Amino acid sequence: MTFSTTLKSALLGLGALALTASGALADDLADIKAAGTIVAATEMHYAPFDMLENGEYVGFDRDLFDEIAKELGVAPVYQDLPWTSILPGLEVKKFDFVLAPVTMTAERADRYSFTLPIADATVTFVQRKDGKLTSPEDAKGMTVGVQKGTAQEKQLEAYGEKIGGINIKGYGTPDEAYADLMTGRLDAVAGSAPLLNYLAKTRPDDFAVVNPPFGTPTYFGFVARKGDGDTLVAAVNDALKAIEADGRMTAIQEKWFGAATELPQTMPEL
Amino acid sequence: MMETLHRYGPDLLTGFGLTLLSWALGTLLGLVLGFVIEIARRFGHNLLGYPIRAYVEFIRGTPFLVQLFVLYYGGPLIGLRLDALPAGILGLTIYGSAYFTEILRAGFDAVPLGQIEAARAIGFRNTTIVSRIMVPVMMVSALPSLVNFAIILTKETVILSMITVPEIMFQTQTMMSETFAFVTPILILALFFWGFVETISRFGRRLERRFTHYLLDRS
Repeated sequence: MTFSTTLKSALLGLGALALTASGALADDLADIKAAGTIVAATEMHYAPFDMLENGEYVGFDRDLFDEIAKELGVAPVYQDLPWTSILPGLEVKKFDFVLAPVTMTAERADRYSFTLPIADATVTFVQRKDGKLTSPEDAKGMTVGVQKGTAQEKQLEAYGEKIGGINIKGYGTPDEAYADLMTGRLDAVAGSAPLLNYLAKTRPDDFAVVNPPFGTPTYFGFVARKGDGDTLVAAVNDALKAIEADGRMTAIQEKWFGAATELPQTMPEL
Repeated sequence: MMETLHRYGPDLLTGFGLTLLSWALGTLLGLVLGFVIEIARRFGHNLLGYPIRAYVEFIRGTPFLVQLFVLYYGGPLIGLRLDALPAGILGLTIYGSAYFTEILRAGFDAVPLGQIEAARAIGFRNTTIVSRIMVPVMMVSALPSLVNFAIILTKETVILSMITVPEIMFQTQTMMSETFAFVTPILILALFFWGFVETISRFGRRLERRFTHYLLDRS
Protein backbone atom coordinates (compact mmCIF):
# COMPACT_ATOMS: atom_id res chain seq x y z
CA MET A 1 0.00 0.00 0.00
CA THR A 2 2.59 2.50 1.13
CA PHE A 3 4.93 1.27 -1.55
CA SER A 4 2.41 1.65 -4.35
CA THR A 5 1.48 5.14 -3.11
CA THR A 6 5.13 6.12 -3.10
CA LEU A 7 5.48 4.69 -6.57
CA LYS A 8 2.42 6.58 -7.79
CA SER A 9 3.56 9.88 -6.35
CA ALA A 10 7.01 9.31 -7.78
CA LEU A 11 5.51 8.71 -11.20
CA LEU A 12 3.33 11.78 -10.83
CA GLY A 13 6.38 13.77 -9.84
CA LEU A 14 8.25 12.53 -12.88
CA GLY A 15 5.33 13.46 -15.07
CA ALA A 16 5.24 16.94 -13.58
CA LEU A 17 8.99 17.26 -14.12
CA ALA A 18 8.61 16.24 -17.74
CA LEU A 19 5.90 18.86 -18.17
CA THR A 20 8.01 21.65 -16.69
CA ALA A 21 10.98 20.47 -18.74
CA SER A 22 9.05 20.72 -21.97
CA GLY A 23 7.71 24.09 -20.84
CA ALA A 24 11.33 25.21 -20.35
CA LEU A 25 11.90 25.14 -24.08
CA ALA A 26 9.90 28.28 -24.54
CA ASP A 27 11.05 31.14 -22.36
CA ASP A 28 14.12 31.25 -20.12
CA LEU A 29 13.06 34.47 -18.37
CA ALA A 30 9.71 33.03 -17.28
CA ASP A 31 11.43 29.89 -15.94
CA ILE A 32 14.00 31.93 -14.02
CA LYS A 33 11.31 34.10 -12.49
CA ALA A 34 9.31 30.99 -11.56
CA ALA A 35 12.37 29.36 -9.97
CA GLY A 36 13.41 32.60 -8.24
CA THR A 37 17.07 31.91 -9.10
CA ILE A 38 19.27 32.44 -12.11
CA VAL A 39 22.22 30.11 -12.61
CA ALA A 40 25.12 31.99 -14.19
CA ALA A 41 28.40 30.33 -15.20
CA THR A 42 31.83 31.85 -15.59
CA GLU A 43 35.48 30.90 -15.33
CA MET A 44 36.69 32.38 -12.07
CA HIS A 45 40.24 32.94 -13.30
CA TYR A 46 39.75 36.08 -15.32
CA ALA A 47 40.75 38.97 -13.09
CA PRO A 48 39.42 41.61 -12.63
CA PHE A 49 36.18 40.32 -14.15
CA ASP A 50 35.98 37.01 -12.37
CA MET A 51 38.27 35.73 -9.66
CA LEU A 52 38.40 33.84 -6.41
CA GLU A 53 39.59 35.57 -3.26
CA ASN A 54 39.95 33.24 -0.28
CA GLY A 55 37.57 30.90 -2.02
CA GLU A 56 34.93 33.54 -2.59
CA TYR A 57 33.82 34.63 -6.03
CA VAL A 58 34.50 38.35 -6.56
CA GLY A 59 35.14 40.75 -9.44
CA PHE A 60 33.57 43.20 -11.83
CA ASP A 61 31.12 40.62 -13.19
CA ARG A 62 30.06 39.58 -9.71
CA ASP A 63 29.27 43.13 -8.61
CA LEU A 64 27.53 43.91 -11.87
CA PHE A 65 25.49 40.74 -11.90
CA ASP A 66 24.43 41.09 -8.27
CA GLU A 67 22.85 44.38 -9.38
CA ILE A 68 21.34 42.83 -12.53
CA ALA A 69 19.81 40.00 -10.49
CA LYS A 70 18.37 42.60 -8.10
CA GLU A 71 16.76 44.37 -11.07
CA LEU A 72 15.37 41.04 -12.30
CA GLY A 73 14.11 40.19 -8.83
CA VAL A 74 15.84 36.80 -8.63
CA ALA A 75 18.69 35.34 -6.59
CA PRO A 76 21.94 34.67 -8.50
CA VAL A 77 23.70 31.29 -8.30
CA TYR A 78 27.29 31.30 -9.56
CA GLN A 79 29.07 28.36 -11.19
CA ASP A 80 32.79 28.07 -11.92
CA LEU A 81 33.61 26.25 -15.18
CA PRO A 82 36.63 26.17 -17.51
CA TRP A 83 36.14 28.55 -20.44
CA THR A 84 36.22 25.75 -23.03
CA SER A 85 33.13 24.13 -21.49
CA ILE A 86 31.10 27.29 -20.93
CA LEU A 87 29.55 27.81 -24.38
CA PRO A 88 28.84 24.06 -24.84
CA GLY A 89 27.30 24.00 -21.35
CA LEU A 90 25.00 26.88 -22.22
CA GLU A 91 23.75 25.07 -25.31
CA VAL A 92 22.84 21.94 -23.39
CA LYS A 93 21.16 24.00 -20.63
CA LYS A 94 23.51 23.24 -17.76
CA PHE A 95 22.88 26.82 -16.64
CA ASP A 96 20.88 29.87 -17.74
CA PHE A 97 23.39 32.56 -18.48
CA VAL A 98 27.05 33.07 -19.37
CA LEU A 99 28.49 35.57 -16.94
CA ALA A 100 31.99 35.30 -18.38
CA PRO A 101 32.90 38.34 -20.46
CA VAL A 102 32.40 37.01 -24.00
CA THR A 103 34.06 39.00 -26.77
CA MET A 104 31.44 40.04 -29.30
CA THR A 105 32.10 38.53 -32.71
CA ALA A 106 29.83 38.08 -35.70
CA GLU A 107 30.26 34.26 -35.60
CA ARG A 108 29.21 34.10 -31.97
CA ALA A 109 26.31 36.52 -32.48
CA ASP A 110 24.93 34.10 -35.09
CA ARG A 111 24.80 31.41 -32.48
CA TYR A 112 24.19 33.14 -29.15
CA SER A 113 22.21 36.08 -27.88
CA PHE A 114 24.50 38.89 -26.65
CA THR A 115 23.64 41.51 -24.05
CA LEU A 116 24.72 45.12 -24.47
CA PRO A 117 28.49 45.67 -24.07
CA ILE A 118 29.69 45.39 -20.48
CA ALA A 119 33.34 46.30 -21.04
CA ASP A 120 36.03 47.15 -23.58
CA ALA A 121 37.75 44.08 -25.05
CA THR A 122 40.38 45.54 -27.37
CA VAL A 123 43.44 43.30 -27.52
CA THR A 124 46.88 44.32 -26.32
CA PHE A 125 50.18 42.74 -25.21
CA VAL A 126 51.68 42.38 -21.77
CA GLN A 127 55.33 41.49 -21.24
CA ARG A 128 57.75 40.98 -18.38
CA LYS A 129 58.84 44.24 -16.86
CA ASP A 130 62.30 43.83 -18.43
CA GLY A 131 60.74 42.80 -21.80
CA LYS A 132 62.02 43.89 -25.21
CA LEU A 133 58.82 45.16 -26.83
CA THR A 134 58.53 48.91 -27.27
CA SER A 135 55.55 48.73 -29.65
CA PRO A 136 53.19 45.93 -30.72
CA GLU A 137 55.04 45.52 -34.06
CA ASP A 138 58.11 44.26 -32.15
CA ALA A 139 56.22 41.02 -31.53
CA LYS A 140 57.24 39.85 -35.00
CA GLY A 141 59.03 36.50 -34.72
CA MET A 142 58.46 36.28 -30.97
CA THR A 143 56.59 33.68 -28.95
CA VAL A 144 53.28 34.97 -27.61
CA GLY A 145 50.81 33.18 -25.34
CA VAL A 146 47.05 33.57 -25.42
CA GLN A 147 44.02 31.82 -23.96
CA LYS A 148 42.96 29.03 -26.27
CA GLY A 149 39.65 29.24 -28.13
CA THR A 150 39.14 32.97 -27.53
CA ALA A 151 38.42 35.90 -29.82
CA GLN A 152 41.75 37.33 -28.64
CA GLU A 153 43.49 34.29 -30.11
CA LYS A 154 41.91 34.98 -33.50
CA GLN A 155 42.89 38.63 -33.40
CA LEU A 156 46.42 37.63 -32.47
CA GLU A 157 46.56 35.21 -35.40
CA ALA A 158 45.36 37.91 -37.76
CA TYR A 159 47.85 40.41 -36.36
CA GLY A 160 50.66 37.85 -36.69
CA GLU A 161 49.89 37.43 -40.37
CA LYS A 162 49.84 41.19 -40.79
CA ILE A 163 53.24 41.88 -39.23
CA GLY A 164 54.97 38.80 -40.64
CA GLY A 165 54.73 35.96 -38.17
CA ILE A 166 54.17 35.42 -34.46
CA ASN A 167 54.74 32.08 -32.80
CA ILE A 168 51.47 31.53 -30.91
CA LYS A 169 50.93 29.21 -27.93
CA GLY A 170 47.43 28.47 -26.60
CA TYR A 171 46.70 28.10 -22.85
CA GLY A 172 43.73 26.87 -20.86
CA THR A 173 43.45 29.99 -18.68
CA PRO A 174 45.19 33.40 -18.86
CA ASP A 175 46.81 32.61 -15.48
CA GLU A 176 48.81 29.79 -17.05
CA ALA A 177 49.98 32.06 -19.85
CA TYR A 178 51.16 34.66 -17.31
CA ALA A 179 52.98 31.91 -15.41
CA ASP A 180 54.75 30.87 -18.58
CA LEU A 181 55.60 34.49 -19.33
CA MET A 182 57.38 34.56 -15.97
CA THR A 183 59.27 31.32 -16.70
CA GLY A 184 60.64 32.99 -19.82
CA ARG A 185 59.08 30.59 -22.35
CA LEU A 186 56.99 33.46 -23.69
CA ASP A 187 57.98 36.94 -24.80
CA ALA A 188 54.50 38.37 -24.34
CA VAL A 189 50.87 37.45 -23.65
CA ALA A 190 47.97 38.81 -25.68
CA GLY A 191 44.69 39.62 -23.97
CA SER A 192 42.00 42.22 -23.63
CA ALA A 193 43.09 45.62 -22.31
CA PRO A 194 41.16 45.71 -19.00
CA LEU A 195 42.50 42.29 -18.06
CA LEU A 196 46.13 43.12 -18.77
CA ASN A 197 45.97 46.62 -17.27
CA TYR A 198 44.67 45.06 -14.08
CA LEU A 199 47.48 42.47 -14.13
CA ALA A 200 50.17 45.12 -14.59
CA LYS A 201 48.58 47.27 -11.89
CA THR A 202 48.44 44.47 -9.30
CA ARG A 203 51.91 43.08 -10.12
CA PRO A 204 53.92 46.11 -11.29
CA ASP A 205 57.26 44.46 -10.47
CA ASP A 206 56.59 41.57 -12.87
CA PHE A 207 54.54 42.86 -15.79
CA ALA A 208 54.21 45.86 -18.10
CA VAL A 209 51.54 46.51 -20.75
CA VAL A 210 52.74 47.26 -24.29
CA ASN A 211 50.92 50.34 -25.61
CA PRO A 212 49.02 51.00 -27.79
CA PRO A 213 46.58 48.04 -28.12
CA PHE A 214 47.03 46.28 -31.48
CA GLY A 215 43.54 44.89 -31.98
CA THR A 216 40.50 46.49 -33.56
CA PRO A 217 38.07 47.98 -30.99
CA THR A 218 35.86 45.21 -29.61
CA TYR A 219 33.55 44.76 -26.64
CA PHE A 220 32.65 42.15 -24.07
CA GLY A 221 29.06 41.13 -23.54
CA PHE A 222 27.26 38.45 -21.56
CA VAL A 223 25.52 35.67 -23.43
CA ALA A 224 22.30 33.66 -23.26
CA ARG A 225 20.79 31.02 -25.53
CA LYS A 226 19.53 32.24 -28.84
CA GLY A 227 15.75 32.05 -29.07
CA ASP A 228 14.86 30.77 -25.58
CA GLY A 229 17.10 33.34 -23.95
CA ASP A 230 16.02 36.39 -25.96
CA THR A 231 13.51 37.57 -23.32
CA LEU A 232 16.19 37.13 -20.68
CA VAL A 233 18.67 39.22 -22.69
CA ALA A 234 16.06 41.96 -23.14
CA ALA A 235 15.47 42.02 -19.37
CA VAL A 236 19.23 42.07 -18.66
CA ASN A 237 19.66 44.93 -21.14
CA ASP A 238 16.96 46.93 -19.36
CA ALA A 239 18.74 46.22 -16.08
CA LEU A 240 22.10 47.31 -17.58
CA LYS A 241 20.58 50.58 -18.78
CA ALA A 242 19.12 51.25 -15.33
CA ILE A 243 22.46 50.44 -13.69
CA GLU A 244 24.26 52.75 -16.13
CA ALA A 245 21.71 55.55 -15.68
CA ASP A 246 21.89 55.81 -11.89
CA GLY A 247 25.70 55.69 -11.70
CA ARG A 248 26.08 52.19 -10.29
CA MET A 249 28.00 51.14 -13.43
CA THR A 250 30.51 53.95 -12.97
CA ALA A 251 31.06 52.95 -9.35
CA ILE A 252 31.69 49.29 -10.27
CA GLN A 253 34.02 50.28 -13.12
CA GLU A 254 36.03 52.56 -10.86
CA LYS A 255 36.25 49.86 -8.22
CA TRP A 256 37.65 47.20 -10.56
CA PHE A 257 39.27 49.02 -13.50
CA GLY A 258 40.47 52.12 -11.66
CA ALA A 259 38.63 54.38 -14.11
CA ALA A 260 35.18 54.70 -15.63
CA THR A 261 34.72 54.19 -19.37
CA GLU A 262 31.69 54.98 -21.45
CA LEU A 263 30.08 51.99 -23.11
CA PRO A 264 27.81 51.96 -26.18
CA GLN A 265 24.16 51.88 -25.13
CA THR A 266 23.20 50.14 -28.38
CA MET A 267 24.52 46.95 -29.95
CA PRO A 268 27.81 47.69 -31.74
CA GLU A 269 28.31 46.71 -35.39
CA LEU A 270 30.03 43.33 -35.60
CA MET B 1 31.12 19.14 -42.86
CA MET B 2 33.60 18.56 -45.71
CA GLU B 3 34.70 22.15 -45.35
CA THR B 4 35.28 21.67 -41.62
CA LEU B 5 37.30 18.52 -42.29
CA HIS B 6 39.31 20.36 -44.89
CA ARG B 7 39.96 23.21 -42.48
CA TYR B 8 40.80 21.10 -39.41
CA GLY B 9 41.98 17.84 -40.99
CA PRO B 10 45.69 18.74 -41.09
CA ASP B 11 45.64 20.06 -37.51
CA LEU B 12 43.84 16.94 -36.30
CA LEU B 13 46.39 14.74 -38.09
CA THR B 14 49.38 16.48 -36.50
CA GLY B 15 47.45 16.19 -33.21
CA PHE B 16 47.11 12.41 -33.76
CA GLY B 17 50.82 12.27 -34.53
CA LEU B 18 51.84 14.10 -31.37
CA THR B 19 49.53 11.95 -29.25
CA LEU B 20 51.05 8.78 -30.71
CA LEU B 21 54.58 10.12 -30.32
CA SER B 22 54.19 11.19 -26.71
CA TRP B 23 52.44 7.94 -25.80
CA ALA B 24 55.05 5.74 -27.53
CA LEU B 25 58.04 7.57 -26.07
CA GLY B 26 56.45 7.99 -22.64
CA THR B 27 55.56 4.29 -22.43
CA LEU B 28 58.87 3.03 -23.76
CA LEU B 29 61.02 5.31 -21.62
CA GLY B 30 58.74 4.74 -18.63
CA LEU B 31 59.15 0.98 -19.03
CA VAL B 32 62.94 1.31 -19.32
CA LEU B 33 63.14 3.60 -16.28
CA GLY B 34 60.78 1.33 -14.34
CA PHE B 35 62.97 -1.66 -15.22
CA VAL B 36 66.15 0.14 -14.14
CA ILE B 37 64.52 1.14 -10.85
CA GLU B 38 63.35 -2.41 -10.19
CA ILE B 39 66.80 -3.88 -10.95
CA ALA B 40 68.40 -1.27 -8.68
CA ARG B 41 65.96 -2.16 -5.92
CA ARG B 42 66.54 -5.90 -6.35
CA PHE B 43 70.30 -6.01 -6.84
CA GLY B 44 71.49 -2.64 -5.57
CA HIS B 45 72.49 -1.54 -2.10
CA ASN B 46 69.88 -1.94 0.61
CA LEU B 47 69.86 1.81 1.26
CA LEU B 48 68.46 2.36 -2.25
CA GLY B 49 65.20 0.83 -1.12
CA TYR B 50 64.00 3.88 0.80
CA PRO B 51 64.36 6.59 -1.87
CA ILE B 52 62.88 4.24 -4.47
CA ARG B 53 59.92 3.51 -2.24
CA ALA B 54 59.43 7.23 -1.61
CA TYR B 55 59.60 7.94 -5.36
CA VAL B 56 57.06 5.26 -6.23
CA GLU B 57 54.67 6.29 -3.48
CA PHE B 58 54.94 9.98 -4.35
CA ILE B 59 54.26 9.42 -8.05
CA ARG B 60 51.41 7.02 -7.37
CA GLY B 61 50.03 9.26 -4.68
CA THR B 62 49.66 12.45 -6.74
CA PRO B 63 47.55 13.20 -9.82
CA PHE B 64 49.34 13.22 -13.17
CA LEU B 65 48.08 16.74 -13.89
CA VAL B 66 49.70 18.02 -10.69
CA GLN B 67 53.01 16.34 -11.53
CA LEU B 68 52.93 17.84 -14.99
CA PHE B 69 52.25 21.35 -13.69
CA VAL B 70 55.07 21.02 -11.14
CA LEU B 71 57.42 19.89 -13.88
CA TYR B 72 56.38 22.51 -16.43
CA TYR B 73 55.79 25.60 -14.29
CA GLY B 74 57.96 24.66 -11.29
CA GLY B 75 60.90 23.25 -13.28
CA PRO B 76 62.16 26.68 -14.50
CA LEU B 77 62.56 27.76 -10.86
CA ILE B 78 65.34 25.20 -10.50
CA GLY B 79 66.71 25.82 -13.98
CA LEU B 80 64.86 23.02 -15.81
CA ARG B 81 63.14 24.93 -18.58
CA LEU B 82 61.70 22.33 -20.96
CA ASP B 83 59.47 23.02 -23.92
CA ALA B 84 55.93 21.68 -23.68
CA LEU B 85 56.44 18.45 -25.66
CA PRO B 86 59.66 17.29 -23.94
CA ALA B 87 58.13 18.23 -20.58
CA GLY B 88 55.05 16.16 -21.46
CA ILE B 89 57.07 13.13 -22.53
CA LEU B 90 59.27 13.36 -19.44
CA GLY B 91 56.13 13.66 -17.29
CA LEU B 92 54.62 10.52 -18.86
CA THR B 93 57.95 8.70 -18.42
CA ILE B 94 58.16 9.52 -14.72
CA TYR B 95 54.49 8.77 -14.13
CA GLY B 96 54.69 5.47 -16.03
CA SER B 97 57.95 4.35 -14.40
CA ALA B 98 56.43 4.24 -10.91
CA TYR B 99 53.62 1.93 -12.03
CA PHE B 100 55.77 -0.16 -14.35
CA THR B 101 58.32 -0.76 -11.61
CA GLU B 102 55.60 -2.09 -9.31
CA ILE B 103 54.25 -4.39 -12.04
CA LEU B 104 57.75 -5.66 -12.70
CA ARG B 105 58.38 -6.18 -8.98
CA ALA B 106 55.30 -8.39 -8.67
CA GLY B 107 56.33 -10.21 -11.86
CA PHE B 108 59.87 -10.88 -10.65
CA ASP B 109 58.56 -12.00 -7.26
CA ALA B 110 56.57 -14.66 -9.05
CA VAL B 111 59.65 -16.22 -10.66
CA PRO B 112 60.27 -19.53 -8.81
CA LEU B 113 63.32 -19.13 -6.57
CA GLY B 114 64.47 -22.63 -7.50
CA GLN B 115 65.08 -21.60 -11.09
CA ILE B 116 67.26 -18.67 -10.00
CA GLU B 117 69.17 -20.85 -7.54
CA ALA B 118 69.70 -23.49 -10.18
CA ALA B 119 71.04 -20.87 -12.59
CA ARG B 120 73.36 -19.55 -9.91
CA ALA B 121 74.53 -23.06 -9.08
CA ILE B 122 75.67 -23.65 -12.64
CA GLY B 123 77.52 -20.33 -12.65
CA PHE B 124 75.18 -17.87 -14.41
CA ARG B 125 76.01 -14.23 -13.81
CA ASN B 126 73.37 -11.85 -12.47
CA THR B 127 72.94 -10.22 -15.89
CA THR B 128 72.40 -13.58 -17.54
CA ILE B 129 70.01 -14.67 -14.82
CA VAL B 130 67.95 -11.54 -15.42
CA SER B 131 67.94 -11.73 -19.19
CA ARG B 132 67.62 -15.50 -19.67
CA ILE B 133 65.60 -16.61 -16.65
CA MET B 134 63.86 -13.79 -14.82
CA VAL B 135 62.62 -11.65 -17.70
CA PRO B 136 61.14 -14.47 -19.83
CA VAL B 137 59.43 -16.09 -16.83
CA MET B 138 58.26 -12.75 -15.43
CA MET B 139 56.75 -11.76 -18.77
CA VAL B 140 54.24 -14.62 -18.58
CA SER B 141 52.57 -13.19 -15.52
CA ALA B 142 53.36 -9.48 -15.91
CA LEU B 143 52.62 -8.89 -19.58
CA PRO B 144 48.85 -8.43 -19.28
CA SER B 145 49.39 -5.83 -16.53
CA LEU B 146 52.07 -4.07 -18.56
CA VAL B 147 49.79 -3.84 -21.60
CA ASN B 148 46.96 -2.71 -19.37
CA PHE B 149 49.03 0.14 -18.01
CA ALA B 150 50.23 1.10 -21.48
CA ILE B 151 46.53 1.44 -22.36
CA ILE B 152 45.91 3.63 -19.32
CA LEU B 153 48.78 5.85 -20.46
CA THR B 154 47.13 6.45 -23.86
CA LYS B 155 44.38 8.29 -22.06
CA GLU B 156 46.71 10.24 -19.80
CA THR B 157 48.19 11.87 -22.91
CA VAL B 158 45.18 14.18 -23.22
CA ILE B 159 46.39 15.93 -20.06
CA LEU B 160 49.38 17.16 -22.06
CA SER B 161 46.98 19.61 -23.71
CA MET B 162 46.92 21.47 -20.38
CA ILE B 163 50.56 22.46 -20.79
CA THR B 164 50.02 23.58 -24.42
CA VAL B 165 51.20 20.42 -26.22
CA PRO B 166 49.12 20.66 -29.43
CA GLU B 167 48.07 16.98 -29.32
CA ILE B 168 44.68 15.62 -30.33
CA MET B 169 42.70 16.94 -27.34
CA PHE B 170 44.17 20.40 -27.81
CA GLN B 171 43.27 20.41 -31.51
CA THR B 172 39.79 19.11 -30.78
CA GLN B 173 39.19 21.89 -28.26
CA THR B 174 40.38 24.49 -30.74
CA MET B 175 38.03 23.04 -33.34
CA MET B 176 35.14 23.08 -30.87
CA SER B 177 35.61 26.66 -29.81
CA GLU B 178 35.94 27.88 -33.38
CA THR B 179 33.10 25.95 -34.99
CA PHE B 180 30.74 25.82 -31.97
CA ALA B 181 30.22 22.16 -32.84
CA PHE B 182 30.79 20.32 -29.59
CA VAL B 183 29.51 16.79 -29.90
CA THR B 184 30.99 15.68 -33.24
CA PRO B 185 34.63 16.56 -32.45
CA ILE B 186 34.43 14.82 -29.07
CA LEU B 187 32.91 11.71 -30.69
CA ILE B 188 35.68 11.69 -33.28
CA LEU B 189 38.18 11.96 -30.45
CA ALA B 190 36.53 9.07 -28.60
CA LEU B 191 36.57 6.90 -31.74
CA PHE B 192 40.23 7.70 -32.27
CA PHE B 193 41.12 6.56 -28.76
CA TRP B 194 39.00 3.47 -29.06
CA GLY B 195 40.78 2.44 -32.26
CA PHE B 196 44.14 3.31 -30.74
CA VAL B 197 43.52 1.21 -27.62
CA GLU B 198 42.08 -1.68 -29.65
CA THR B 199 45.28 -1.76 -31.71
CA ILE B 200 47.43 -1.85 -28.59
CA SER B 201 45.43 -4.62 -26.97
CA ARG B 202 45.58 -6.74 -30.12
CA PHE B 203 49.31 -6.25 -30.23
CA GLY B 204 49.44 -7.10 -26.51
CA ARG B 205 47.58 -10.38 -27.05
CA ARG B 206 49.99 -11.32 -29.81
CA LEU B 207 52.93 -10.62 -27.50
CA GLU B 208 51.31 -12.71 -24.78
CA ARG B 209 50.97 -15.62 -27.13
CA ARG B 210 54.62 -15.30 -27.98
CA PHE B 211 55.78 -15.27 -24.39
CA THR B 212 53.59 -18.19 -23.36
CA HIS B 213 54.23 -20.26 -26.44
CA TYR B 214 56.44 -22.74 -24.61
CA LEU B 215 53.65 -23.40 -22.12
CA LEU B 216 51.16 -24.13 -24.87
CA ASP B 217 53.58 -26.45 -26.69
CA ARG B 218 53.95 -28.65 -23.67
CA SER B 219 50.30 -29.14 -22.97
